[in-house]
Amino acid sequence: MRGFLSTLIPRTVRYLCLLALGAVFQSVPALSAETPKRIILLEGLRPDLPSAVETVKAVKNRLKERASGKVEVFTDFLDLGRFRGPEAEARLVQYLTAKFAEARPDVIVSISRGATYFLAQHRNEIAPNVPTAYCCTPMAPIDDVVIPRDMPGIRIDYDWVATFKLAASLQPDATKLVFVSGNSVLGRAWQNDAALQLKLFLQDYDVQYLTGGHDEILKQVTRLTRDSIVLLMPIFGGNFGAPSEAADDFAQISAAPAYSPVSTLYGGGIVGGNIASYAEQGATVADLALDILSGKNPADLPRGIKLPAGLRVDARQLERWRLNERSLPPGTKVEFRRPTLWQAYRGIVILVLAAIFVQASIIALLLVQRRKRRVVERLLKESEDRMAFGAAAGNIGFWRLDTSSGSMWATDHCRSMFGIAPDVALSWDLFRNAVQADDRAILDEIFRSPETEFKRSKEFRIVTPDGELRWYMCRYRVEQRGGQARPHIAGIFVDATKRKNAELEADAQRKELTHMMRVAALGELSGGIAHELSQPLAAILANAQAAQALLAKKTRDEGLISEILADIVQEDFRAGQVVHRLRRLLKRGEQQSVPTNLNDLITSTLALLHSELVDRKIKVEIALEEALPSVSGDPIQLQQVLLNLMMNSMEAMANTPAQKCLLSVVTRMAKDGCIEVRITDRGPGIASNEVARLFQPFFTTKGHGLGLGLSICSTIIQSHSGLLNLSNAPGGGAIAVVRLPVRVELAQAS
Amino acid sequence: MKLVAAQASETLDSGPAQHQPAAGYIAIVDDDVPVGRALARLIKVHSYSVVVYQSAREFLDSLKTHTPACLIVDLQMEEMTGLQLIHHLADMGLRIPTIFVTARDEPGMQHSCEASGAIAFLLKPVMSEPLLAAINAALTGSAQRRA
Repeated sequence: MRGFLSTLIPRTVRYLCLLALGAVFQSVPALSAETPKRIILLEGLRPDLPSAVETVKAVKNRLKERASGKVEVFTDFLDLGRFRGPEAEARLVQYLTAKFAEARPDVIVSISRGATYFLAQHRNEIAPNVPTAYCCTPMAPIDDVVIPRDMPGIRIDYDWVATFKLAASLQPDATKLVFVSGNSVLGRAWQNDAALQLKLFLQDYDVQYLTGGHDEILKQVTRLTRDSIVLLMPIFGGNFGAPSEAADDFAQISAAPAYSPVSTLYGGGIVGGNIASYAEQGATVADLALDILSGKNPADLPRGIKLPAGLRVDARQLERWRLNERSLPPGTKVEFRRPTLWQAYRGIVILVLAAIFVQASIIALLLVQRRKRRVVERLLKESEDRMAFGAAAGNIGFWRLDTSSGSMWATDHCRSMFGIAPDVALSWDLFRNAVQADDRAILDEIFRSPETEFKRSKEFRIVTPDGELRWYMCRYRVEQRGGQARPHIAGIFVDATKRKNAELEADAQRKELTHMMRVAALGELSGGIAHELSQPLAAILANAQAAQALLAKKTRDEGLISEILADIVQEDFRAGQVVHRLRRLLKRGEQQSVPTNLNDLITSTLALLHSELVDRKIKVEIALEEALPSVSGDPIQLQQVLLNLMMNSMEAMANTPAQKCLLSVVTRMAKDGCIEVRITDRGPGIASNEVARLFQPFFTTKGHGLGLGLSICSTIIQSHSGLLNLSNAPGGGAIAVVRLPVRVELAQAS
Repeated sequence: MKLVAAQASETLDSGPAQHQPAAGYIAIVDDDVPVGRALARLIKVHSYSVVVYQSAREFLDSLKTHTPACLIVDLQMEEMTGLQLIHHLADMGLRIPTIFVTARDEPGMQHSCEASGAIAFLLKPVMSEPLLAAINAALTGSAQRRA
């Protein structure tokens, strides 16, 4: 449906004899092409009054909704409030007659009391035989105009009781009741009618009737006390102008709240009353008009439909008089509310609220961030404290060095480890100078670490200010930073004194033990060794005494003496060899790494054992590889191993029959470049339950052994990067196999 | 190079082993060649006739042709020890006055030697006086037995 085009012609002409004319033209389009029906609305007052505007709008809306055909609506505002009397009426009749003659209406509807009077009196003149309908506020109590039978319509009665009760509920403490009726007969008639309706309540109030002229009433209402209830009548009098305008003046200037059931007064200054709804009024009369248009006989339609009115109050007035909205009777409509800030400035309010919200969010976010930061700061602090505590407890000092500027940072504990006072500016040299002179090169190495180095560890010694020697371990990392000429180094110093001392002590103990085992082995051999040494001594002694005897004789056999002396020298050398071998094994000293020939060691060892072997009737079978390459190692320790293994073999054959006793010693080059020594006995071999424990310390099968021999042998061979293995020989007995790598330099040289 | 533990036989400095030694000669059995040679010199200087044997086996072989008046034997020898040799001689019914010399003073050894009827038990190195005294005693004893 297309929007309607409405043209409002306001009052433009205000000369004496011409009525102000407002005409509204509206066309309601319909699908059929038939001639549009014309409906004329006669409104008694002016188009700027709320009651008139609302009612006309309601009629038009209803027609638009329900009209089946094309309908044209015209509205004439008669302005009867201001232009009255026979002359004015005659002018209107003349005007409308001419107008309707030109365009004959199909229905004429009067709106308001004045228009209804006018139409009822003059309809046969202005539009003969045109059906009419009306809608109006109540007829005056002294109604002298009879509504024709064929003019259906709606009337609304003024309900003074409901209006009064509304006032009484809003002003329960009121003591005065003021009727404003003006000095017209009609006004006083309304006043009587109202008073009659309220007669039951009047006795409770100090009742006052303002029946004077316009100005007098104005003065009187300004003097009213606040505990008054003012009731405004619909009509006041000839010099008051339009009743609604006068009522507005009174209500606005009054010192007490005014009420009225008159719809035309509502909205201009009164608080409210029991007032009919314009919309309902308009819609109902429009329905009547449509019924007429549809061909119904107007005389058959209802004449004097009573529309229920409702309690309505003006919110602005409630506010003005500070009346409590909550004390309104139930069902009261509150209208004319001032738009709230929200209704008036919705966009701006949303914008402002949004801005505030955003701002608040940002602030909240910042607060959260700040809180988080504080938490993180606290955690960081705690973590730092823990780290510092842990570092101090573990004797660890953290440091960081910028090798390009030489500037350095270190924890307090790190300073104290080097005896550097907390307030001294740090430098690498300060640390370097605290280190033992021999180990300073290690710190220089750290300082010069190239960028490619990563995660290194070094150990050095320092002497603390109280003269204590301590071992520190330094673990560090070179940090590469783009664009820097020289790297940063970060690291820790750890006090490794305890570990280092323990290591050194263990090392010393191991050496001592190794030595003691050698001494013990030689102790076992003491009998044999004594024999080995006694033999040359016996020869020397016998030779020497033979020489003495020879010299005592006169016949000197110088040839024999010279032979004797040669033998003495030879035997002395032989004794010296025995002593030398012994001394070498008894010597204690640092582990050496020298080229060592295993064949020579085996020969020497067998020489030491010679007497013992003879004593035990053990035959020795040796097969030594010729031109055997040297191994790299400590000859004493290696000989100790050979001695130990051979003595074990001898022990193993303690119960072997003499004719079967054989100690076999073989050396050979293995294919993998190792030198292999195989020592085989003819003993009972190794029991299966002993195999796993052979190399365990303190494991022994001997009645008098300590059980350390094989354990030490194994340790020695392992420290020479070799392998010692014991197993059962294929032909019975045990076989010990020592494998040692060939000395590299020699291997290359050959 | 293969070394073999077996000892090579050596000649005596007093010349090749006498095929027919003088009567009442002294036999020395010691597998340590220099020691045997030195003892032989010492005894020879004192005007005894001496033959040195390097092993018990060699000595036993010599008994087929002649018997010494006195035997000086090292206790500790390969194959057959001094004590075993004496017991062997006893089994053969030979009683040769014997002087034991040893570099090892093992407990009980002296007693075992004396029980076998030895003239003397001497520890190496041996001084000439007790050795000569023992030889003298042995030769006197054997002379007495012969007489």
